[in-house]
Amino acid sequence: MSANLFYLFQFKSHLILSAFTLNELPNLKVRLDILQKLWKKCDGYMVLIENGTNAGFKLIEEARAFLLQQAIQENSAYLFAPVSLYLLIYITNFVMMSK
Amino acid sequence: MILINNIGNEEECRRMKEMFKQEVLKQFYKKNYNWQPIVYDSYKAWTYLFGRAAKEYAAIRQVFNEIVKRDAEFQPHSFFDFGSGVGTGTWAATELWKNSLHEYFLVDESRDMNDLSELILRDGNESKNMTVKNVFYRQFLPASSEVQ
Repeated sequence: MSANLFYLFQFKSHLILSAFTLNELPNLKVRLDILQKLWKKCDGYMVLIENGTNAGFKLIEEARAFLLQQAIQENSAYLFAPVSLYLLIYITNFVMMSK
Repeated sequence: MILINNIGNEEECRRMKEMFKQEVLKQFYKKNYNWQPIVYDSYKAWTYLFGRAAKEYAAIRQVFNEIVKRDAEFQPHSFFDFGSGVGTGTWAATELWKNSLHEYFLVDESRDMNDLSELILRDGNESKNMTVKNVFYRQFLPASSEVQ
């Protein structure tokens, strides 16, 4: 069982998703902490999805700013989407970062 | 509240103070947003499934389609879902990349959510096998951010 756990948290993942989860976290510190852990674990696409509300938009904006900052330091990633938000913004807000 | 101090009767005085305190607390809770995390028990998990799962699946599927449209050669081998809930991310990922995905890691704090998600992947019957291979459930992310 412990071998399984070890395996889980050591290797990188090609596709990381966090759908409608950021708005259930208590505060900024926890959110950014988790985003950083997920980002370190990412070796492909990282997808963040939130509700299409004001709060959701702010969460995504915050996450995007944070991840872009991380990406600039590493010089390894870019923002894959959204290129045009108009279609989806009434349903959901999302951000995809690709390494 | 000068009135309170002027009333001679002690009983009434105490009662008035209580009423005053209740009123103040009521106003306080109205003006301050008291955020509490939602703890998903079994009932809430089922409610989530019937209330939100379909829309969320649609949104996730739409977003994944965007990846497929623009990067058709993307063949992920492992999928990591933080806050997996009832498993909508897994359903969407399986639809699109069933052939290349070897392993699924689903992290959700609520054990009942994980159980429900597993039940769905077993086609609603606990004695059946999982329709998707190599799905691992966890409740927490590791404490340290040291990852290879």
